[in-house]
Formats: sequence, structure tokens, C-alpha cells
Amino acid sequence: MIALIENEMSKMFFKKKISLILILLIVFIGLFAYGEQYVYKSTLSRFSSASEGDSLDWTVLANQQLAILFERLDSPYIPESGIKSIEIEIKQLQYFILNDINPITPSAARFTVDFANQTITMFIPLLILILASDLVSGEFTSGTIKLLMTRAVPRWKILLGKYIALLMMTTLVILLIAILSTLIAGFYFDYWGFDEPMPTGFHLIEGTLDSSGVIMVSGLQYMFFIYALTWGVAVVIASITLMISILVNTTATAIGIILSTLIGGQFLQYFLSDWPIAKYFYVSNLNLSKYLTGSYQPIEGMSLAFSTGVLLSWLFVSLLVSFTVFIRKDILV
Amino acid sequence: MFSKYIWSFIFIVSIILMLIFISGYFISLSITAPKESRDESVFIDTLPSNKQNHDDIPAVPSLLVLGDSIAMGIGDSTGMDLGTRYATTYKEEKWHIVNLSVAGSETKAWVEYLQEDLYRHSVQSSSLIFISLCGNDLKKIVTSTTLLSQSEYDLLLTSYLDDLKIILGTIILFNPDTQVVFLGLYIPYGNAIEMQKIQFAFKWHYKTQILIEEYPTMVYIPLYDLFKYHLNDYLSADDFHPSSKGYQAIVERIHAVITTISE
Repeated sequence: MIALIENEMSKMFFKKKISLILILLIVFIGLFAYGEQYVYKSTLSRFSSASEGDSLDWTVLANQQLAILFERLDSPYIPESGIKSIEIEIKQLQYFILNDINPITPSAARFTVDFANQTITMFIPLLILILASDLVSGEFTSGTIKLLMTRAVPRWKILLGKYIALLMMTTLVILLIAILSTLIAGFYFDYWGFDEPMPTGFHLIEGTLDSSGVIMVSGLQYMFFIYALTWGVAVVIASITLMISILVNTTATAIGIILSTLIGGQFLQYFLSDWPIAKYFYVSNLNLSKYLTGSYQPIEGMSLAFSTGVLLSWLFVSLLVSFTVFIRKDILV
Repeated sequence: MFSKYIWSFIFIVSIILMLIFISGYFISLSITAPKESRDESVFIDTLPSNKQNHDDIPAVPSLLVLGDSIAMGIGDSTGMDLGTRYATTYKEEKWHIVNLSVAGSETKAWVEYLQEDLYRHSVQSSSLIFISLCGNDLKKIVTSTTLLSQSEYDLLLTSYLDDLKIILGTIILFNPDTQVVFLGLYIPYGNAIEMQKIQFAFKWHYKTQILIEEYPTMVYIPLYDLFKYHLNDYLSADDFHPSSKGYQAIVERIHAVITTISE
């Protein structure tokens, strides 16, 4: 079994997939980081030209903001749900003032989180597609499936070996994304921000976003949560791609199908609030990280638990279909 | 190509990573899982003075102060809020002061605040209401560094007027008899801002006044003229909120307007 997995992984390495993914990641993360830095610089220059000083004195502004927040906290009449988020806002501001960091300075931790938020629905699934799309159909196209089948190993073991190898590669790719974006952003911005306080833990109560249960985590913990969710999405995409790749035999068709569901699914999201069935399509549930960041339009009945349930059922169904089809398939190459 | 050691290293690393990711996923799940939904009644009970001011209205008429930091009396060195200053200046009238203002609040927020029980009870039990509302909306627009186009200004104004309409309608609905005093705005910036923005602020005031005059029990009190030549001594150290002198002037003007009604 181990040998089978090893064999599959070495195939992926030999096909230079990892290096392709690496290059794509470096290019895109580099561009994103450059863009962020550029926007930051131009904001700074805009502010300093407006205040007629040579540099922006943000501590005055931050202290003022802090005073207003404390004032608001003192009022006994603010709704209870608002208290927690005000407290976290205060902690954040105090952290910035204490460490002498301008609140709008881009940090490596925030960049890494933002990168996952932006790419979780499209870019990361496409990277996984590179890994998974020809896992089975590639063997058909090149005819190597015959060599594989002539071994005295049951078919399910072959597929299981492929699947485990795919899962491992997916895991490594997610780690690679996290490490690369942290490193590139860290060297670009020269500020890591791993201990910067961040708010998370929003709930949906009766269809509105409720912030009473908000908790504060460090930048590092936040990254960890977001990338754990990203990993979950990647695993589901890998499994679905594996199923398609077994069903259609040709790599190009497999890629086409996954791509069109990904893009078509994005359009389907416009109907989410009115058309309940759209909630059960896997693409509608890919944006898991939004549940942690709390930056989304709440939709009745959609929560992290719901999305996980939907994605898990897609995962199990794809595995079931993959194994039954692969075991019974006539191989005519 | 790779030695056995490297393979086993990759295996172990990826399996450990998978476990870590799974645990992270579970933690995320538990973070976002909704707790037992909070009961509205619990929230109301924990708030102070809710039941009380509902009970002790009969003794003295209740003066309710709603709005932003100006209603709270921020900038006043004596620490009095608008209602307290009014009551201490005119001692012959006895008032029970309820100040429910929220510093930094914008008009939009008040549409929601008024839906809460606390605010409804307070409006129902009050016989005079001071409102200072749109300062933060206007401040945001006027102090922004960019000049907006005419249509953008109009859009902001219309959405503000819609909110204000709802707020005034709600107050009338809760308590049609109460006297409402709506404070206008002064412009604390002098000549430091563009003419276009000052004109917009005037238009804002004018539209607000038109809306308020639709209700016979509501009165709009302009403050611009009061502050125009007194920015030095009527503004507090932050150059934005009124000083205690400024508040005194506001209170005197309010009293001059409503003195005949309350008799």
C-alpha cells in the first residue's frame, strides 16, 4: 500500500506539477503583495498631503478613536451585542499604539489570511485541479492504465493509493501556500503581526450576523483557522475532481467540467437567498473562511456547520461513485 | 529519485499536517457554532433604570434626551449632559431626566435603537424630547477629503431623510403628545472647508427643517447663527464639540422657544 502511494506521489513530482504550482504561487503572491504595498503607500501620501505635515501622525487619530470607543463602552445603553466587538476594537487599537504600528500597515499574517479569503473559491481549487485532474484520466489517455492493472493488486487498492497520495499532495500544497504568502509578505512589508489581535466567532441568530460571541485570537491562530478551512475546501475539490476524472476518461474534459461548475456556481450564488436548492451545490459552500471573518451577507440557514455538512456529503458521494465506477469499469485502451 | 528517508519524511509531515488541519477545522466549527440564542428579555432586565423610569413617571414630567455626543454633553467641562444642564438652568420646572444618547451614533443606527423596548418605553413616558441627531452623518461627509458629485450628495441626503422620517414617525407613533425639540447643527469648521460643502450642510439643514415642520408637536431649533461669531468660546478644546458656554447658549435658546408651550 505504502509503495502504491509512493509510486503515485513520485508520478506527481515527475510531471513537474509541484514546480508549476510553486511558480504560479510565487507570481501571484508577489503581485498581490506588491499591490497591497502600493495601495498602502499611496494612502499614506494622500493623508500626509491632506494634513500638510511631512508625515501622518496617526497616534493622535488612534488615541481619539480609542477615547470615543471607551466613551461608547461607558454608555449603559449600547446593545449588549455591541460590547464585545467594541472591546476587541479597543484591544486592537491599544496593540497598535503600544507597538507603534500604524493600524493600516499591511502585516504578513493579515495578508496571508486575506490571500486565502480571496482565492478560496477560485484560485486554490484551480491549483488542486492541476494535481487531481489527470490522476486517473491521464492513465487512460497515455495507456499506462494497462500496466497498472496488470499488477496483482486489487483495483480498489490502486485507487485508494491514488487518493491518499492526492490528499497528501493537497495538504502539502496548502502548507506551501501558507508558508509562501507569509514569507513573501513578511519580507515585503517587514512586519509580521503574528500576535496582532483579530476578532472572530460571529454567529447567525435569526438571520442576522450576531457579534455577541466574538472572541479575540492572535494573528497566528487566525491564520491557522483560515488555512484549516482552506484545506477542507481543497480536499473536497480534490475528491470531486477525482470522481470526474474517473467518469470521463480524458483530462481535458475533466478540467472543463470542473471549471464550468466552479464558474457557473459563482453565478448561482446570486439566487442563494431566494432559491434554497442552490445552497446544496458545492460551489455555493466553498467560501468557508467568510464564516470566520464575519464579512458576509447572512443567508438563512447557512453556517459553517451547514456548509461543512454539504461539502462532506459531496465528498462521500464522489468517493462512493469513484470507487464503484473504477472497480467495475471496462478498460479498453 | 528520492531516497526512502525523504519519502517517509513527506509521509509523516503530510499526515501530521492533515491532523493539524482537521483539528483547526473542528475548532473553527466550534467557534462559529451558535450558542443558545440569547433571550431578549434577559438583555432588557440587565439594563439599569428601564423598569424604574417606567414606574416613576407620574411624579415629575420626564425629559428624554436622544442623539449623539452633543446630546451626551461631550465637551462640557462641568460634565452635565444636555438634559441636566437644561434642568439645572431652569430650576422652576422639575424634570426627570432620561438620557439615552449614544456618542458617535449616526442617524441610521437610531432607526434600530428605537425598535428596542427600552427606547419605546422611554419615548412613551416622556413629555419632552431633545434630539440631536445628524452631526455624525454630516461630519463624515464634510470632513472627507474627496469632493463628491452632486448626485452622490443627493443620494446621501435622501437616505438620511428616509431614516429621519422613520425615526420621527416612530416617535409620533409611540407618543403623539410629546413635545420634540430637534437641534439643528452649527458648523465648527469656520472657513476651513470648501464652500460647496458648507452649502451642502445648509441644504441638509433646510431639508431637515422642512421634514420636521410637518409635525405640529416638533420644532426645529437652528444653531448655526448662534455659533457663527462665537466659535472661539462656544467650542471646546477639541474644536468640534460645544464648550460649557456653548451648551448654555443652546439650552437658553431651547428654553426661549418652548417656554410658552410648557406652561
